[in-house]
Amino acid sequence: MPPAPAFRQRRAAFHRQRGSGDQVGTTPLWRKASLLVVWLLGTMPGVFSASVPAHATEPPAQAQAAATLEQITFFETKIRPVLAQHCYRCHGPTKEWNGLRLDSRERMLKGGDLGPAVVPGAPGESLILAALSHDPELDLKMPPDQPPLDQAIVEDFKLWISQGAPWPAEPQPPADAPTDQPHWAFQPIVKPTVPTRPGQSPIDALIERQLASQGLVPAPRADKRTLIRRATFDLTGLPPTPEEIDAFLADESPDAFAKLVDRLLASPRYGEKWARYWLDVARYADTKGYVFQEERRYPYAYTYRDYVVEAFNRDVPIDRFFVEQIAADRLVKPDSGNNRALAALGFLTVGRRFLNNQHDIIDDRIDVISRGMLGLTVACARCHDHKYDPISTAEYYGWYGVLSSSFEPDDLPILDATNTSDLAQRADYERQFAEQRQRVSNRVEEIRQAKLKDLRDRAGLYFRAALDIDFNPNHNRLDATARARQLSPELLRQVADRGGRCLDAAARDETHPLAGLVALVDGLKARRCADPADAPRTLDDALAQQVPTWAGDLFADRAAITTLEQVRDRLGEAVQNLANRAETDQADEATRAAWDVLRVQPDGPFNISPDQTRAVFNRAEREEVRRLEQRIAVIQAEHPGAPARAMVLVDKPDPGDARILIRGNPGRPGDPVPRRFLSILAGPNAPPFRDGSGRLELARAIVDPANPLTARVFVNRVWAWRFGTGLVDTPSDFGMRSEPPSHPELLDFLAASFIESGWSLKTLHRAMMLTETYQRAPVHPDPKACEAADPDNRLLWRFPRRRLLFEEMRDALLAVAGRLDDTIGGKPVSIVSQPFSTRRTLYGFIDRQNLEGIYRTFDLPDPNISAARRFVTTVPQQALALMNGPFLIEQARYLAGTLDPNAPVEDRIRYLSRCVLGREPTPRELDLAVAFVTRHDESTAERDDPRGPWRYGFGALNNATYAPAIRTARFEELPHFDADASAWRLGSDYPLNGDYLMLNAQGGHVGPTRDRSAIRRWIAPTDGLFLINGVLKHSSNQGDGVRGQVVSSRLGRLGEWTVHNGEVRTRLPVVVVLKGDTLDFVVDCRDGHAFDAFEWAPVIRRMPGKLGLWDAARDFRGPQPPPADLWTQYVQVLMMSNEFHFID
Amino acid sequence: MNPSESFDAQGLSRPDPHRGHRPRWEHLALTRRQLLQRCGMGMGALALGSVLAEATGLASTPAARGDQLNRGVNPLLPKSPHFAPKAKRVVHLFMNGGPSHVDTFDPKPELARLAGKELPKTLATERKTGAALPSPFKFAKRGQSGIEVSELFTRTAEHIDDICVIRSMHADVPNHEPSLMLMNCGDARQVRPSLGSWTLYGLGTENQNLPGFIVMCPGGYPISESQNWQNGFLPGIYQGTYLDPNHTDLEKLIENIRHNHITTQDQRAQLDLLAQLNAAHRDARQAEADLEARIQSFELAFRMQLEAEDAFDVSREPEWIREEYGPGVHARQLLITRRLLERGVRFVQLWHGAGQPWDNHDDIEVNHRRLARQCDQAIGAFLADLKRRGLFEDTLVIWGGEFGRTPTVELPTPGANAGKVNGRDHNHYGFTMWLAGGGVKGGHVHGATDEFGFQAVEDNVHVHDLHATILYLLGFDHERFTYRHAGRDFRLTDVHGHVVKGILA
Repeated sequence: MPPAPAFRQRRAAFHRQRGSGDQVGTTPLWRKASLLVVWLLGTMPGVFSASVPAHATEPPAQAQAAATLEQITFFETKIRPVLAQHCYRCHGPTKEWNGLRLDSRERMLKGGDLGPAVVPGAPGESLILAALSHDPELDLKMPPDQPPLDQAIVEDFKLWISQGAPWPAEPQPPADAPTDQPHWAFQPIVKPTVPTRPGQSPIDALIERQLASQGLVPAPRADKRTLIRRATFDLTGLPPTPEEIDAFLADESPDAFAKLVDRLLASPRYGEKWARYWLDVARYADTKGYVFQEERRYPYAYTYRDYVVEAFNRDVPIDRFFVEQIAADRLVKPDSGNNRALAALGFLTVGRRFLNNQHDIIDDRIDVISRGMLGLTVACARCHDHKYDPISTAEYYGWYGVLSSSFEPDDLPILDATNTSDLAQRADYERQFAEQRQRVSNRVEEIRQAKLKDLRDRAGLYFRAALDIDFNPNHNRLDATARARQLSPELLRQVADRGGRCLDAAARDETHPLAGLVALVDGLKARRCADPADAPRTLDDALAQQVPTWAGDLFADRAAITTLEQVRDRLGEAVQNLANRAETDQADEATRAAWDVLRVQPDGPFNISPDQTRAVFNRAEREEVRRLEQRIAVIQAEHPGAPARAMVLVDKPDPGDARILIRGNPGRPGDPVPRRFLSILAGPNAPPFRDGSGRLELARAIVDPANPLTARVFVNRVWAWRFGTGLVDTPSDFGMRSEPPSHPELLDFLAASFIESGWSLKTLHRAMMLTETYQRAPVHPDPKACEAADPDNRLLWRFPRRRLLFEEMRDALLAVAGRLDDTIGGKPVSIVSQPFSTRRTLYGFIDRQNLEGIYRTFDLPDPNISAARRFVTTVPQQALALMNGPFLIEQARYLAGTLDPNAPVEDRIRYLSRCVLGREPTPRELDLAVAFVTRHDESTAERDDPRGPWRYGFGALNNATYAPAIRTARFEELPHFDADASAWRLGSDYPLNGDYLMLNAQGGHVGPTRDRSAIRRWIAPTDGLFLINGVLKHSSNQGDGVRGQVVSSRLGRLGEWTVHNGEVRTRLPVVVVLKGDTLDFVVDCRDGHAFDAFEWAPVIRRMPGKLGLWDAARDFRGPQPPPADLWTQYVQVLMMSNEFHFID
Repeated sequence: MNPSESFDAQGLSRPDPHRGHRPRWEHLALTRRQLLQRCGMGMGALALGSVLAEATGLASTPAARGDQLNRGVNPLLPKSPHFAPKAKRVVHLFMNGGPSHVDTFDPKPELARLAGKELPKTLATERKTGAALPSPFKFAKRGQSGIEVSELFTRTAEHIDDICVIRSMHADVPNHEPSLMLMNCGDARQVRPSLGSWTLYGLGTENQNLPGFIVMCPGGYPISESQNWQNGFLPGIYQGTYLDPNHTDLEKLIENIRHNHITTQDQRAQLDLLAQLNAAHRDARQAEADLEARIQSFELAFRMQLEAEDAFDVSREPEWIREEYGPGVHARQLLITRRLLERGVRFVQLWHGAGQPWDNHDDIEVNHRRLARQCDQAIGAFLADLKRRGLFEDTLVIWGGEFGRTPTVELPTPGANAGKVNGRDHNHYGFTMWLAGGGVKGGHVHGATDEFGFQAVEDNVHVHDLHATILYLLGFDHERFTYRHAGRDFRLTDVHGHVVKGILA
């Protein structure tokens, strides 16, 4: 479905804003609305200008003079009841249509999107009066969808306004009133002086001060085993190896932990772990979201992901990191040979694409910048001034102007120093890419040539048809005309359009090669539908015309011409003659000149210039070329030699301010607003951005050390990612509605120190981790008292336990199995397809549109929206993924496979415990494990086969003819399962050497001889009486049909049926079966094997009927994994354990 | 209630849920009490239950409710809404593509009078439309209420006295994608949680062994795909679980539902060992709600395997029931739906098919007839089945598309339709949806379109109003049912919506 034309959406959106009663009139309402806005702006300067603060108070001139009692009585009896009855439903406390409230004088004066509703003393300028009186000049009739209110009421309002709109004094609502104290987050960062004990971290001092104020004593230090696991997961997202644990335990030096932290920070695994946190904020994904037909993947999103990893590993200062993500194009010299930072711009460009709606794309970018970096919800101001924070709509559209002044170039820059490792692959990519591009342009050219030929060969027909639709490209009979004459509607449209313009040009210029035709054509056009009585005159008129010489003597046999149709025909013929002659030697000057206008000129009606070919594509051609082009996108996305490119944004050559869109409605443009930084941070007179789009200035304003938010927001994020809860609990929202920080001084201390350190994240990590607070035990000696005082552990009286993130969990499973691939970076891989990738989960392909279930199950934040934190949910689907999902089992098998089968059982258990949990098992665990892996109880003996009772194979019966003696002589299982066809087959080729043998859920196909009958086998899982039922079906009138037999391993053949182009019910009497017996459903080809596909999905019921049912179709399955042995099962238990999944 | 008991009590034969070749699950699965006893917990089962309920219950402030999502507990446990609900579960039959109201539930004889002539008023829709196109289908009064329904939905109309037909629906734009988003998520463009996700967030689900919000669409996704049941800014577990009911293999329906690598007995032995290891781990620690929740999740998962096997296996239905629903995948998905509902699944959304089947710009007569035939019998049987089992009163059934269709004929547009001039364009100005069960007035018509069916003109119900009403029936004040995200409290109805009191029983 093509998206609606923009204008219609605008119109519809306008209606939505206006309420449901509006109907589409003949004049677009939005145009009226913008006229209204212009009018309002003319009369009320400054309403939309950002120089007036959002919370402008009433200008003194409009201040209310003391109202008389009489005036108040008038208001209360004549005005307020009307407002209450007719207006408040939409313009009151519950709703503010168009930002307007009419329930206080102040609000009336402030007005809504369209400006003040009331101008005291000036009824003529008061919008409310115009609306109430249904002023025909204005498309604003209130109350909506009703006849106008009584004229008397309107007169009352006029009087009231001319009195100065007196309103009784009312108590000010205390809640919204601004206080003297500015919001904490907007105050400058002040580094507190923190008294500390010798050797004590100021962080600890501040934490302990708060604890002490509650009378709490923090938990003691954690043991070293806990610490190394905590720190290693925290910094690298991976578990420590047993060797690393041993080394750390053995290191008794006082700075052992500091050395550990430094080692971990130096590991390339560190960047991979912390990048993921930032990617949550950056709503990273590898696809565009919903698109109709274009390629969905972003082929280069991964370069942004890799940029973040590298930036963290290199400890790029965070202020630099931020600026690069907004304006790297302005920092990187084009030919510097090191343009890798350009990939940073993916921060802006990897978002959702909203069917390419620019407003939504820009909104998404504003949101990710403002919440991600500033902790402000600027996007809330898209439709109205922010309800809580001092951010105006004007400021939103200031940022909007910055982003709308930027664009994504078609050819994205290739990143330096990528893919140099494999020149051959790169060359192959270049070749394939060029070939495919060539294929597209070849095909486009082919189509163009064919159309050009058509236009020349049938020029006369096209001209004639264009004449019949009056050279009107929008003629409603255009398609029908083209269809009737087997012309291309696209070409006819062009001929009509361009031909009409040629004639227009000829009408203005007597020397024009087509000048002679104009009057003739006009005559034919204008008289087309006229009274038939006019015809003779018209014909005469027509025949009187001077026709150009190239047209030959059109009317030589004048007597033969009796109708206008004949004139038209001749005109068409003349054009065809022109086409036939013009490019030959016989052509004279006039002919060449006419042909030049019609064909040679780029915009000639019979010409198609290469860049306009697509405009005359028909649907099939458009589809075909789109498919070819999609192949280019696929090569870019999939070819291993495709060079990495940066998803950049660059400045437009003509940057400019954007207009406010009233209530976010693109159909209602308001005033242009300057591109500038937020006034709450930069002051009311922040200079407008002047440098290109302004992105660089915006970025610099964000990281300006005087900006109180950026550093606070970032250190708080790091704190939250480390300690589970931020000092401010809403990491992406530091606005008025956020709770104040739990430790304000600590927040400022961290932010100030962070800036002092040169915005070094690694320094920040060290500062946080080399504290007692970080190194505390996860348990407290007196938890009851602590919980009573601080149940959520916001004060950190113990270290908060956390569960592994999804990425950590999957990576840890690979790591403990010894299989983790430590390659850094590159194109995304699927983490769900088998065989499983052993890359880190960070490199998994993220389809934001249809996110893989596993990501959702394990709490990956929605990649459509910048995420402040991860949810931690516990649902059985997670357990199912671990118990039954193939990934964990594969890792368990792998690790169990490394066991020395000759080692003593206890040693093997110790080894596994060390590998998975990093420690020796306790004596009790050892006992439990030994019992588990050596169990041989009855249930083991009774174990049912996880493959279920059905087997899919082929073979032959013995030669017996006496039914009880017939047995299956040979049975082989079909070796290959084709997942796409969902069928068991002989091999991956189908048919295999002419053999169509196969079985699927419903039936199958027999082999070419009776020795190769298709056999579906059922192995009785239990003794009993069974009913066997089914329908054998053969659906071809060719060949000789098939024969089906049921053969019991105990009782011989139980039934036999043949069927040809029909079906037969295969019901058997009750059958006695003992456990382990087989029942074979054998289908053979009879005498000829052609056309021997069949359906036969028997159902077996145990008697009495409640005890079991096996349905061949329902139970049909592909290959099942081999049963997991006891050791694999044991490893799986360890890998599922809480100890593995939680970090103390 | 225990649905399986009531099932048997009515004398319907019911196959044994325990397939013969499997051991008896209830003997293997630990009850929570047994689990707690085995784990030697100090905390009693009751106490634990209340801890979990408290942690997951519908907290009074949005912030508090947001917090509980961070505590590592199961946020799908049942919760109470603002006030006593009329409907406990929801089925949304989504006729995607936009069924024509003037051919189904909103008869317009005027169209026959003006056949082939221009209507006095034609509104702009997605494409150009021309003259009035009368409905090719016969309408007749149905039931005691005498509500007129066309021949397309005869079987459905047998229940018309229990159905509330809203003929005055309207939406915002005549395009599929934004209208689907509006109908499902309350916002045409931005990323917002779907109605089902909100419902799950607000109410949790009764059966922890099955997903609480299930979406079925035969053959693939509708357009806009899984965005239609997205969780938006709510946690991922509130997203709808999509199944293709064309599959009969449970593994293709629910990920990881089968243990193919080991036997049930082995898995039980594994979980017993796991419980012992986890108990020791927990006993050495503090504030164990998160640990405990994860311990339990394995027992829930173990039981879920059986429950799902049972719920999705329609071959366990008696023959006559299957015949009543009829053949085809619609019958199948409705029958599965009934099995899911009686097992406590909170929200089921059924789509007619992949893409936009009801989008009949051409050949509306042939296509609408075919589409209705695919689902009418099954919908009728489904409603009868719900009534028979006593589920109808507290199940809200919603039927409709993302919009309706024009009463005027669509004109040919090259590249957009087949140019047959016998179909209808999209129409968001007025269309029909119907509700049944769950606290709505049966045999009732609410609102009306103009005499041609182009635009809702009487008692108009916007999609936001419908949402407000659905939430009301589920026990929520839509203005107070919020979630804090990006600095503000979001609602399904944004800043709009009024409960349509006129349709409440």
